[in-house]
Amino acid sequence: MSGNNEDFYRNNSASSADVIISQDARHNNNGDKPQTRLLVVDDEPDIVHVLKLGLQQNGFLVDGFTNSEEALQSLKSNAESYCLVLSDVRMPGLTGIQLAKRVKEINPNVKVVLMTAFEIRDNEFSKVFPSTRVDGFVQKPIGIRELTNKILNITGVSEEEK
Amino acid sequence: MRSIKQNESNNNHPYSDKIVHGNSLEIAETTTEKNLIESGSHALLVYNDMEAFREIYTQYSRALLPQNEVVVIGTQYESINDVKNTLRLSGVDVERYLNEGTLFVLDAQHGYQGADTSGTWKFALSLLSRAKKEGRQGVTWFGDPGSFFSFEKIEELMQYELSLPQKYKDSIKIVCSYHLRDFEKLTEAQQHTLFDHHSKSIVVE
Repeated sequence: MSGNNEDFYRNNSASSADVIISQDARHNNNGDKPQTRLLVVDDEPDIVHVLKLGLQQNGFLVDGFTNSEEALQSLKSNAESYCLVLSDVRMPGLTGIQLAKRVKEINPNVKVVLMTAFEIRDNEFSKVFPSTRVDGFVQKPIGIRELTNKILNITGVSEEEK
Repeated sequence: MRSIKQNESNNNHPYSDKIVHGNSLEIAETTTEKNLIESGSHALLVYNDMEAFREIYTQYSRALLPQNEVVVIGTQYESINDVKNTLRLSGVDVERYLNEGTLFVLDAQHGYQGADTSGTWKFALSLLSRAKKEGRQGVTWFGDPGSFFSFEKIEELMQYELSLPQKYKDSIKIVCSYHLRDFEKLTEAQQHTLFDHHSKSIVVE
């Protein structure tokens, strides 16, 4: 893994806060409630790996893809099972914005959060894709704890329900 | 030729003698040490993944910056900081060359999708002019046009590419660096047009 990704997920190491969340999640997993299932998409394999690991440790079910077209196929096949798609913005082939548009067409209830290491310009894509709605933006670098909280806020899932 | 891969098995393809194929290490080595991209080239590079592109721009920068070359990397899928860190990790003295004004790492999308698409070309020419005055060897520009695909502006991309000369008289190398997944979005005719218009085409397998 490059130093950049280590920096990106500098808070990913098992901090005490993360461990507590993870223990809660394991406890919840013993119940009947289904876990929140996420689709993580980034063209950088290292980032997908770290995100998947970190979010799994925080109690989520995570499917990770480095190819956005393949991620979309997975969503099509399991349209009702995903709660949220977390995707990089800039990806070759199908970009994060294009993916978001397709996801909403398939299932409008699926939340979409886009992440980028570049400056977030709200109107960057709105001029080009005015009808595409996303539920949140994440600026890289971000720690897993912060990302987890963001996902919980957007999905409306409480710590106990996760 | 929807997929470049189909090219490889077609020896009769009109561009088969013009397209150089190789893995990222081979391409990086021949580009850097064997002058695969000659001075004055408007070259087309199709890279199959980010690792390949990193290998090429890193090896090139590590070898050519100390030789007084101005190197510009217009990045689309890596952040500017990530590119700088990649260069640092490979041993390039990034701060020195940034301070000297011989290394530039830019957001390609900002340039191509800004108010003036040709602004990137104008900037390249201004760098060339300055390089001449300062006695530099030349200017090499790696530019990723991925934002044209992101914004679904393929016609604008084709217009931009065709607006650039096939060859330059001066010591400048323009390397239009396409991710394979983007390049495969082009029609067969558009791919042909680009292969035809560039003085050299390199496909990383």
